[in-house]
Amino acid sequence: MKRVWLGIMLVLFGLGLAYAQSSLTIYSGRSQALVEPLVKAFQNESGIKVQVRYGRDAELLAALQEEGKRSPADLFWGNTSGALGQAAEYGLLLKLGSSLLSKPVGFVPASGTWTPLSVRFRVLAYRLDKVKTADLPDSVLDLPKLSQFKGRIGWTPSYSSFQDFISAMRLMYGEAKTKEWLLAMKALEPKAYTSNPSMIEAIRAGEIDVALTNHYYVLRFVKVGYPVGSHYFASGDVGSLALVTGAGILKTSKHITEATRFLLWLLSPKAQQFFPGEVFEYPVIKGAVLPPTLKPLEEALARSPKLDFEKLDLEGTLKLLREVGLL
Amino acid sequence: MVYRIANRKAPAALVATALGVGSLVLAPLAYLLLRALQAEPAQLGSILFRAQNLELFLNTLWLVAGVVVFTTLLALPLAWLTTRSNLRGKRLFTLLFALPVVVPGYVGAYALLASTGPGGLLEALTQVAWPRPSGYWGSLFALTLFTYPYLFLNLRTAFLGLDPSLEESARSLGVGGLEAFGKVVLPQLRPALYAGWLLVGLHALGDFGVVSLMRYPTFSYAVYLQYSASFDRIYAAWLALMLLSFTVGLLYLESRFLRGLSLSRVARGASRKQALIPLGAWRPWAYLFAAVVVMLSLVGPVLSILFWTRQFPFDSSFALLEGLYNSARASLPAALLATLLALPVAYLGVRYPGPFSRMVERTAYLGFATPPLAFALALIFFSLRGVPALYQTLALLVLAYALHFLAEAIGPVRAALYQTPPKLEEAARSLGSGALEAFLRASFPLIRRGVLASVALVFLSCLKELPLTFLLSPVGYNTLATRVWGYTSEAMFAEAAPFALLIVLLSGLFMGMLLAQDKS
Amino acid sequence: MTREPLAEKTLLEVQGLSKRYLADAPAVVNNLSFSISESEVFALLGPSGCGKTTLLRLIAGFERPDAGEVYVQGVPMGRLPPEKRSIGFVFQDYALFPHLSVWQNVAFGLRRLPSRERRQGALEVLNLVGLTVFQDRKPHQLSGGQQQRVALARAIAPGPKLVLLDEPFSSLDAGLRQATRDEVRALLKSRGIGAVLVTHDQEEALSFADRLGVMRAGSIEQTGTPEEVYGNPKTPFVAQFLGRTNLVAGEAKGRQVETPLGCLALSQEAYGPVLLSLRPEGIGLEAGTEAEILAREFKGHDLTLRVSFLGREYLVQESPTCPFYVGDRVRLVVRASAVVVGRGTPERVKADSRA
Repeated sequence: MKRVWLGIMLVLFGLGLAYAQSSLTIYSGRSQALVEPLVKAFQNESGIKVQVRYGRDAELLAALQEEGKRSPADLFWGNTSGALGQAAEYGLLLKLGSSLLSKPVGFVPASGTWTPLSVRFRVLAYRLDKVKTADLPDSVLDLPKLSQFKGRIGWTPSYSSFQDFISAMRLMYGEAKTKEWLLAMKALEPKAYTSNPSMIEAIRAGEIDVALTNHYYVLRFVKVGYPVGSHYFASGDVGSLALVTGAGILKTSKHITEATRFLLWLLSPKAQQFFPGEVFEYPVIKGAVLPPTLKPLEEALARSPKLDFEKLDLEGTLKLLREVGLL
Repeated sequence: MVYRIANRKAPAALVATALGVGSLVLAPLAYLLLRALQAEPAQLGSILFRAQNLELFLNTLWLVAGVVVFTTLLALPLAWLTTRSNLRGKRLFTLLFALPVVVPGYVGAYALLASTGPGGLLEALTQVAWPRPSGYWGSLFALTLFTYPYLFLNLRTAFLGLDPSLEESARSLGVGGLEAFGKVVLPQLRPALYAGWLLVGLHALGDFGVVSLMRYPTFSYAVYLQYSASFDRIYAAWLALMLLSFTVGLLYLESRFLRGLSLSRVARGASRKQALIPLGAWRPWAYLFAAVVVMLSLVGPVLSILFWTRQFPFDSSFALLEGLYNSARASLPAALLATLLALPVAYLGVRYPGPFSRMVERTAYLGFATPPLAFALALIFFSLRGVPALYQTLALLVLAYALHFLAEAIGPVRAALYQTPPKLEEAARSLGSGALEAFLRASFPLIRRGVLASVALVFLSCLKELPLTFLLSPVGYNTLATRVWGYTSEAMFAEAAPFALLIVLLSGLFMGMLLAQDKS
Repeated sequence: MTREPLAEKTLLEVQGLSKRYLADAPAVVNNLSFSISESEVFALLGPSGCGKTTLLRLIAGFERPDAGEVYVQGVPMGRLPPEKRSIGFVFQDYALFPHLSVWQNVAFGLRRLPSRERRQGALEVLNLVGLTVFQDRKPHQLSGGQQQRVALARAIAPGPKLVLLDEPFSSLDAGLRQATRDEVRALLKSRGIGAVLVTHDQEEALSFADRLGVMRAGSIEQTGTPEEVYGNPKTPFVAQFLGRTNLVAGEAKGRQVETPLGCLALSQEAYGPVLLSLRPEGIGLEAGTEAEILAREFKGHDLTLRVSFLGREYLVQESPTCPFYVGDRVRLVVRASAVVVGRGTPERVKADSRA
């Protein structure tokens, strides 16, 4: 019995070892649904073998830290600029070359340790048959004034994009004003969700009428006939904050050439076209064809307040959210 | 004459094996302590003395208590119906009652939410908008539906191993029907009840998928939030330790209940088959009850998944086979390994009860209660420092599954061992078999049912496991569960649906095979 | 300790065996010694809780002794595990393997043989107990007596020199018990297997064993042939446990003793205050006035009467034709010599007999 087991374990061990052999290893906080088609296309074109470990940003960052110098990862592909900034701060990322960083139209971090790959925007989702757009404010800062929505507002305090949004508010308006806004919102008794799809479901089911979310979630549900619309705040308003996804090369990488090649390829028109086409995200280079539900790239980019995305301080935001009892 | 089995020294080899298993499971705890001790005092104060902790604590307590009560209300009658009554189609019902365990909580709760309220699936089917579950009752409802099979399987095993003469002698003493059940059968079921309650309780305690969707803040929900938001291993370690201390409380309770329990068959002669109890006029009600449970816990979620494929366009090609192969290839060895590891631990606990064996057994439950993310990080930490070659291999994933789910394997094996008289092994030894051989030839055939239940439980848990799979599998290793998560988190339900269905099908197939083998 | 030379070859020797389960409780087996010779059938008789089952389990190796040693054919068993001792064991409730058929149960210990020989060997032994027709049944399909015989067959199949039997007949009904007992004894004798039987049934011990030992509180009080132990009990406990008896105090004067029943003959020389055992069959009744009959218990082949004399009760066994009934006045006639079972003052002697 024991001998058989030993044998089985050895075989599995061997299989596992075989798996570990690969030329480019990506840790992706972005989900497989988005990353896999791109990886396959790159593999076919370049002949470079790519292996991806999927997970949530936080899990992968924690894993990278535990692995330390022994990490097999070459690339970290983050779902939020917050996670990428954290990776840079932990000193996990290499400085990228200027030929790479000159490609995106914006959002390149000052540290130069990661490149933006796609952009999403914060919006206010609302139920089409219950809410008139005219009633919705131009600035997210005026949202607490909508007392008619008391108990019918949804938000996601634990979600990284929401936290990036609060970080931006702190950067633009200061700690005190952000806290004031959060407390005023709390007075409206908003419902907190942990996932955006379940929040959109809640709009459909009549649990809430409006919700602070990301633009692509609304579009994906609109596509299948949910009675939901997106309200864009005014240009430059923090409520229209751009959310950047991106990737950086890890210091532990043993395949820097291949990793650079992959990033360059992701910034190519062909790869960038994938983002608006498949997942309703905005590309970071000009020239991609956008579906009608997306706004033209220049207009979209102009909506977001201009700020240094690496200055978004997650730690402080988490502290504030805990202070007001939202986390 | 019943001789005592306590106060005897266990063989050294057995103790060493059990101790080895225990310390493997404890490794993550050591890791958490290591990380936790890196905290600064000021930070520590703000973690430990938050006003919300008390609210979270009470919420968690209520949820765990509620889930224990309601799963019992489901599982006890269902287990009785499928073992002791003359209900028809027992085999099929057993399968159907065991299956909800394969519905991942995050999928099941989402299905509930998506199918209720205006515009939900149920409205489309019935023309009436069904109320949306949320908060405490929503969490309780969903957790009860998707965890009661743990208790059901434990109780079923125990029912099948019951000594019928005990109930018969109660009846001959003038204690009939329900009273006999309460006075004689129920006490016999205690080990299975405790083991089941512990599992169900730990599931409720550790769940964050369901409670987060139902927006009911519990302790592990908070742990999960902090973990996923803060990227901070030290902070997370403290919260995980607080969660574990809650678990220690549960374990203490269970060990208090179990103390001094020895329920092996003491009747003379070999065991007889049990007679089935006719349902009589209750039969239609029994079927109705069974049907409602199956509808809510199984048909509902599966219909929801199918609905997604219809509602959302179905246009990608799927790596279904790859996912299937990978899921099975990791889960099956893990289930076998977990059961193999559980045997010495359970054996020690049943045959040599005492503080030591109790402690080893409890350890397994601590491993189960350790947040999986912390468990995974610990294994990364130790494997890279100890056996770097093991890192990123399937073997490590299998080991991680087995250690994490060891507690699930112990319950059924332990319950079965309680009902196997130690004298059989002594008889084997007086006939020239060594200790191990005596166990394998005399006791193992009798606890086979429990062993199969253990394998099944662990297999199903592995099949839907996420955090361990994400962090410990070889890079590029996609399982059905990781696919489901990958798609649902992007609201791509059509793409997720086939994988989710395949999880349910594969589990169903596996469960069916096990139950078919189990001729009662 | 010196070993007494034995005429025949010693099969089992138990020396100074002690076992206690809890540190603060009295020992269950207390510095106990005895031995049996080859193919001898030995019975350990004692009330429940006297440690006899524990003693058996110590010999089998299921329990470890705190002190003392067990020798089988002169070889010290030490810490040898049960499977290395070649000692058969028949459990009180048989402990048949419920998942195996009858022949598989019997073949269990024949595991070193090739499969065909295993079956052959099992059938041979089953034949001895007359159960070959049931070879393919499962244990639960057999009656108690049949299960008992399978258990015995299983224990002797591997060919042990020694078999330990833990109250093996206690769950059989009375009629079956006698027959089964005779069969088992015959089987053991025919195969030359030595046996230690544990029982609380004195009749069983007397009729089954070549020799027996009476156990009390972890020690053996007396060993000997059934006739010796019955006829010459050494202690009040043995006298009382092995059949009914009258314990009478007296003042011994050599071969004679003064008692309330008059001056009686003594079976051995003694002096001073003694406690005596008088078996009921050693007392008879004649017509008289000094005693009165309190109860009459007719048992077919004999008759037991309870008689009051000088404020004490005596048991008397008479032939069934005895003409006295309850209420009749009679006189007690002692026909056998009294046996000394205790010495010292009457108080001490009485306390002994009660303990």
